[in-house]
Amino acid sequence: MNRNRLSFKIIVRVLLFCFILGGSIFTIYYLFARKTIERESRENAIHLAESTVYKIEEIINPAEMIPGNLAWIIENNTLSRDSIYAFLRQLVRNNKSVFAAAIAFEPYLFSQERYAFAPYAYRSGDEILNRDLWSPAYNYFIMDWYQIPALLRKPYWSEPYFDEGGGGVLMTTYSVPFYTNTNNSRVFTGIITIDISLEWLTEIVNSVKIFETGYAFLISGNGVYVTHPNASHIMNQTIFTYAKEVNEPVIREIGRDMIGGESKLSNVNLKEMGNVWIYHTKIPSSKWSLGVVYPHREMYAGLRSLNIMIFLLSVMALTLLTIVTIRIINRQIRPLSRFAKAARNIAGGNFDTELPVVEENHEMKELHDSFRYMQEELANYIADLKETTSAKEKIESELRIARGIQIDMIPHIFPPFPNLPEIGLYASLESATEVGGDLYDFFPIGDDHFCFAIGDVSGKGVPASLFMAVTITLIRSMSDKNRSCSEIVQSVNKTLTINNESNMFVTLFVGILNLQTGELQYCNAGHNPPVLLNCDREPLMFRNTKAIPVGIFGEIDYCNETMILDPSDQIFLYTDGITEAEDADKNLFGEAALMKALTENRDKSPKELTDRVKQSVKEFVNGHMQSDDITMMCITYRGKNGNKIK
Amino acid sequence: MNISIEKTDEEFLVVISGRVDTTNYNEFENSIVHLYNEKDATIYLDCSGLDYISSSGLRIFLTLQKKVKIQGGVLKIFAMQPQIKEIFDISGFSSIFAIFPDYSAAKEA
Amino acid sequence: MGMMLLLLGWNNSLAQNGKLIFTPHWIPQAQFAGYYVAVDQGFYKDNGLDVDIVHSTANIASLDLLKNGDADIVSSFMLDAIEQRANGVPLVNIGQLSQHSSLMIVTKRKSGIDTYQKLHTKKLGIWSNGFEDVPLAFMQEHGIKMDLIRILQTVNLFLMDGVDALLVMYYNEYDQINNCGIDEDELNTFFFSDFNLDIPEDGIYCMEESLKSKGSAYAGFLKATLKGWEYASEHREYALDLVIGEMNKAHLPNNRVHQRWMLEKVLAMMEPGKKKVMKGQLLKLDFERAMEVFKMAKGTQGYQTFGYEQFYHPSAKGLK
Repeated sequence: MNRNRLSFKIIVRVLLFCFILGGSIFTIYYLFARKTIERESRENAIHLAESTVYKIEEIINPAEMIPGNLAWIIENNTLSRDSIYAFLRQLVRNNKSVFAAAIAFEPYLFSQERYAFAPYAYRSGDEILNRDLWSPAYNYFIMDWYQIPALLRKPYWSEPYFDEGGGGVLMTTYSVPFYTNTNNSRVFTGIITIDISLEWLTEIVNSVKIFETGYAFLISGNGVYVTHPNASHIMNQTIFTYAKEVNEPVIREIGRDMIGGESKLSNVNLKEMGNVWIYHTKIPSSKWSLGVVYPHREMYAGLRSLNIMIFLLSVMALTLLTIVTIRIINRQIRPLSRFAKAARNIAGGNFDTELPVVEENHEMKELHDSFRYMQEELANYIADLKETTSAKEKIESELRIARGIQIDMIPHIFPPFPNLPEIGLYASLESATEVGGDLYDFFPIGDDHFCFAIGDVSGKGVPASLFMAVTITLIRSMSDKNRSCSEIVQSVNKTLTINNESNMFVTLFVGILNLQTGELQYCNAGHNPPVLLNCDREPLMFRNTKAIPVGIFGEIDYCNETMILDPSDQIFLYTDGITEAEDADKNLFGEAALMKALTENRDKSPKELTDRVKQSVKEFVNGHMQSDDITMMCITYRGKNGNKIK
Repeated sequence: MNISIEKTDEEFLVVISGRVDTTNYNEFENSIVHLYNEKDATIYLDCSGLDYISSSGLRIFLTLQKKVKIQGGVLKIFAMQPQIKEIFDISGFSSIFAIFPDYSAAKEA
Repeated sequence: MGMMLLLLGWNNSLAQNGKLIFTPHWIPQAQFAGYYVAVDQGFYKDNGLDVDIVHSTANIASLDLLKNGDADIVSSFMLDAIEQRANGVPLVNIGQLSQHSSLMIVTKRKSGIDTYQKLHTKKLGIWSNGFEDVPLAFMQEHGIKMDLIRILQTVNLFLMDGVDALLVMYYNEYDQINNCGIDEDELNTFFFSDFNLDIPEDGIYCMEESLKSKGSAYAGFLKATLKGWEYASEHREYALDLVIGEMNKAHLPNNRVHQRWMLEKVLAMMEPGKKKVMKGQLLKLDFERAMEVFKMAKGTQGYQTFGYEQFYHPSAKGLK
């Protein structure tokens, strides 16, 4: 897939967002689940330990009562000396958890004749036997079970031991001091003991299963393992020797807390099991302590497998999402590329291009409708344009023809009269539009007169050109030997004024030069005054006659003016296209600039002079568009027969 | 180009400013064409702001002059800038139009 | 109820042709590792001996077995042997293994007993079967009187604060206390060796009369034993394997951590230290100091007197 494609970008963004979203949800879920599991495990650990302790106490508590009750019986003299053995046997028989029971007397306190006496009833197979524990080899006074409660005067749970007489089972002895009342004083008389098999205890503790490798264990007051999943620890190791053996000081600390009777939850890192929770609590009766070990690894194992499941599901979901998204997006935006193709086709001029079919009513439909509209409008527009263009082309071609005609109406072959040595002449007409309203003309009248005219029709374009055509035709037709300049102008004026509803007018200058004498007769109807040039003099502008242009009022008399030209005199005629030529800042070229240009070039030939003036104007406007026709005509009078040709 | 026309009784004060040339003479004509039919109107044309006028513009002046005359009215032009006055002079239009140096002078005449 | 009955392989017929019955003075533990190693490595056999190790118990002392003729050769605590000899039992020391005293008194730091003077009038847990001479001499020499509470063998009474102080062996009970969760820095220790009572302890004994017939066998025994100890010192884990094996055979609770401690300390006591003594040798000076201790503890009434030469019969001359 092209990386720059819109669909690719959308898909990448959507998927990225989904991924981030999913990741966030998963992380939150994971942390929450982990916390929950941790809390539950913690509670479970505590609960498990406490309930196990409860189970143990359920069995120990009744047994624990026995020595106390027995002590009370003895102290109150309700037990006859003769029936001690029978009583003890009965006691053992009646209490399943009791393996043996004994009443051990202090020296001479059972009887004055007897140094020591410790009647003892014990199980032997199914039978219950009895004997006196005392023998010189078995001096019970220095045995822990006797000595410690006797010295401390408080009940004592012995450290667990394997009783070989009892078939090597794990036992503990619970010893309670008892007293008798002699001479109104309470005298410590001895120790009552019961031996309790701990096999049930092992069973209870070993039945605690925590995940795979978690376990419960029980240690005695000295830290000796009473139960442990590793049987070789039992009775051999204390939690402290174990800690030393595996080099885990933290276990020693926990062991100290345990034998200190604390209930505590610790999070420790063990070399063998990694992170574990260890909760321990004491067994209230014996002051032993039960611990449960919760391996984190397994605690979170469920979570881990759930995580893998979620991860796999996520991957599947993401894959599915990717496929579906790609399909949807491609489907949704496929019209776009078709639109693009269609647009290119339409741009290529194929307005009948089929647009992509969009069925659903949404943005794509809008796009489709807009496209259709654009297509139709474009087709219409192009059709219009074609029509307009062809019309315009027609007009333009007509204008071109008109221009040709117009150009043909004015003389444009220079030098115009090679057989007239008296005259040098050059003229130029540059229309601002296809067809212009400026005009000039010149022609000989008879053998020794030369007529010339220049004019400027008000306005521009076709109307002006038509008016110009009429004017130039009129000038030609009106000029003959018998008419003076003013008569020519007057008759042109009269004719033009008739039916001139649009008030078009022409500024017109007509001159007739007597080639023999140099006499110039002229008539100026509102035209820019020509300039008289001679290289020996400053240029001189013709006097302003203040006569109005032709075509306005029919009944107006125009006057003739006369002047004598010297040989080599030049007359420069022009239209206001020169003086009113504008630059970009709307500054006018003006008469002064014209005069300056003329002064500088007064010794040049007519063509060169007009070219120089044209150049000055061009330089002045500096590329600004020409707004009016520019017409110039320069006539050099060379004197009779052109004697003084320069 | 800006044109404003102010009417008081039988008088119109037309103020034209800027340039009148081939590009906008139609606009100029359209804005004053209604004056062609005013009977016996005195129309004052303030040219103090007129910077340039082409022959097309002159034609509109001329038309206005003619129309006003036909309707029995008068066109008075005043306050021409020198370069405008020069165009009028060259073309001889100065003799066709009633031209005054300022408004008061136009009023008095 | 604490009834550990020992089922000993009884052999009344004394060893002939290199057959010897050796009885260590206590139940199997690392204290006797060298003997196990000597048997296992065949060091005795190499000396033409067929040694049978028969353990004594808390109930029956090794010296009693020697006296009764149930053992040819025994190990024993020197002061116990001196007492027997003073009582007329003609036993002799044929080799002294331990050169130092590991006896000591511990108190709990929390009891505030941090100088020996403060032991005065306090309750001292002390074994009922021996080892009392040194502490008694110590009390006498330093004018201390203590309330002696006789105990059988455990440290429980001390742990439960039934006594203020306890007489212990550094290699054994001291570590047991540690192994019951009491840290060393919670204890105050009083080594008798620091009080000019560095009395050698474990030695090898036989009846004087048997020397004539079995003298050479004993010499071989001592030589092999010393070699056994040397080997144990160099191969401690192997030695511990043998110890644990012996303890398991005797159904005794055991753990390697404690036995390792014991092996280390017992080996350390066999080193001369500041004493100018050879391996297996009993210094006259040490014997005489022990006699003083004995007399201080037990008095002189009714005891036979004897000298260093009568008591000590070095079996192997020129031992290293």
